[in-house]
Amino acid sequence: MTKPSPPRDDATDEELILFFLRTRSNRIFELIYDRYSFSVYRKCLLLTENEHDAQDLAQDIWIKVYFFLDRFKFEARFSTWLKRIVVNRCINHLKAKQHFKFSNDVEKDEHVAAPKINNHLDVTKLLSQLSRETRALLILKFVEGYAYEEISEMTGLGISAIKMRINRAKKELLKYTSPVNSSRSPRREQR
Amino acid sequence: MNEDEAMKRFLESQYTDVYPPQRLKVAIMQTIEVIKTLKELCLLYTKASLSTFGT
Repeated sequence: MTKPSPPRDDATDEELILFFLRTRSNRIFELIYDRYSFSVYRKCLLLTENEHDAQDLAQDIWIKVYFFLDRFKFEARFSTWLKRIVVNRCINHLKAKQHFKFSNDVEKDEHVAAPKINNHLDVTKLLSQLSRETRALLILKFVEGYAYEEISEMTGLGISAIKMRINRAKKELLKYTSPVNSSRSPRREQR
Repeated sequence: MNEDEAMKRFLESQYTDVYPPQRLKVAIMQTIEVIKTLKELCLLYTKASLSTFGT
């Protein structure tokens, strides 16, 4: 039996995965890791907002990928499969933390005040005024591009609660992201 | 640019220059090696147990 020739660095993800599954070569796994390490780590950071948690989660995710890559069925792109693993792992992590609890209670949703830093838009500061679950919902919807139904399945929240919470947060945030409106003074939402 | 696109850009502007530390990759590869060794040991132990009990 001939030994398979190693794929080149510019091989497709699928070529690398097939070769890895045949050889269990750490070098090939490292090539896959190098392609997606930033994206995995960044998703973990966006969802947890904690470098320590993001590193722990990324480590856990990559170890799972190493041992369970044979479950990848080549029906979707590898990046899509990996993204789902990352998001599910992060959501489970956030659910497991007692300070984070997805709730259908949309009334407790928060408002965003403008950052007090000379009209300079500080994204992190603005987002830090939202609850963790609302931030996670925004990331899942607008960055990861999931449909409301998928977000509902992941989080256990009702679709209407998700839509309401996302729309409310979006309205608040967009007031301060538009160049025309970025200097307007914060307005407390009347309840 | 519509609102959804504006939101996407806004949210994506976070953590654009935060890379995973190199030691993370080292830790991952070391942990993988430890798990592989443990799995092999478990397999050897199972085989040895089965042969000891003559099954």
